[in-house]
Amino acid sequence: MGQATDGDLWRRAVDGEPNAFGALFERHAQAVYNYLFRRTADWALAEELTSVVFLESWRRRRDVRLERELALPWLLGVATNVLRNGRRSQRRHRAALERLPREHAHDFADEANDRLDDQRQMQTVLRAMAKLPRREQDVLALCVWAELRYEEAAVALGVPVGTVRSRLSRARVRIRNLSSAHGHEPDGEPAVPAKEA
Amino acid sequence: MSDETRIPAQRDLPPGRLQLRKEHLVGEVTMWDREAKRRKRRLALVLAPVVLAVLAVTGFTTYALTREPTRLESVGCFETAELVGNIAIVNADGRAPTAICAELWRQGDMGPGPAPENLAACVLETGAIGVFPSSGKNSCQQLGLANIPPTYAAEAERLAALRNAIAAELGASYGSTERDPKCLREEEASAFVRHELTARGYEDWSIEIIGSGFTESPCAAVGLGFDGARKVVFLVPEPDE
Repeated sequence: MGQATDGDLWRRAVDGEPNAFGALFERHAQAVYNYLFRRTADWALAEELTSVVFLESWRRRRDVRLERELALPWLLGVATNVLRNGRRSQRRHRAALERLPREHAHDFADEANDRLDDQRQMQTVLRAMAKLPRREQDVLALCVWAELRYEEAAVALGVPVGTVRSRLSRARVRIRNLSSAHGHEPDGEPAVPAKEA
Repeated sequence: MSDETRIPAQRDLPPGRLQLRKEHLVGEVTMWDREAKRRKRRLALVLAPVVLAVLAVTGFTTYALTREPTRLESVGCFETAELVGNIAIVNADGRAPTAICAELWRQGDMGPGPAPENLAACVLETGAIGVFPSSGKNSCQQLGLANIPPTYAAEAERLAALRNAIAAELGASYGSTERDPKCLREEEASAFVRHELTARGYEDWSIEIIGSGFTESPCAAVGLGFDGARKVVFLVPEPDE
């Protein structure tokens, strides 16, 4: 039997099957986690917000009709809103988050220094990105860092595909100009390296 | 490539942490679901008599024009600052109506949108209390409604105390309070209610039995409803199974 699609799992979740939602979490949590890290430059916050994104998605699960059976664009849209709403989203789920067992702090021991380097590097990137309008940052993060297609980014942001294209185009021009102004070789846009094993 | 555009590589949450968060998520949503079903059942049980006997006839917003609240037993939480929007009708529990509706917004029961910064409580034409998202002062006047009078808080508290006392005596779940139901005969339940009405200054209220639950079984668990406008306590017997 083939693997259940996101759409199948989502429909089962809407019908009151929490384990189907758990399967969706397992499938997409890492992508959401990395997206949130790249928007916050903070691995611990990204982990906490990953839970917030899925709790918020459960709350809104009945509002969703998945495009092409893909849940990730919509989840990243929720993540973008959670980032935009800042503390309000976290407050809404504070009680749930407080029930999370605080363990496994040692899990990152091997790569603690690398993660600190990541954070420093990402802070530098975000400082540069902060010069872009927020909506261009969103498009850049979704299309370039999270590698969504234009259509998927449009779903995530709830805007037409043409808007995604034009915002991305403007963001690229702005980044080129910023790079030139800082004496760097214009190299287009923030790149996405291969995922580490 | 410049430092300003070099993105750190992706990293995974370690499997143990991922599993922990997954189990936490599944546990939380299971709990929410259970709570939502309980709340729905409670609301249905409590509001059914009122909705069937009164609201279905008059509607929540169409009634003789009054400016004094006459329905202290419930609060209508409006989704938008207009009279024709969606309404969630919930039990008043003695708290300020804005606090009751703010809690619904916080819990996400008012829909997916963000909770409004401010809420305004007004007296609807029905004599019920409506709570609306508000953008400033004079929200009630802008809707053609009256503000809640200063006497409301004390009256609402008095009614909440009556309702809590009756619910406790009958073992009826009401509002957010769950109780183990008692199996009661009609005479017993009515006597309890009459006693409390008299003791608390509601002598002119009557008692109505909804449904035939008392005749189908020697005793029944009793659900409660209140209609302040008609001054009626509804008893909804659920036969012992």
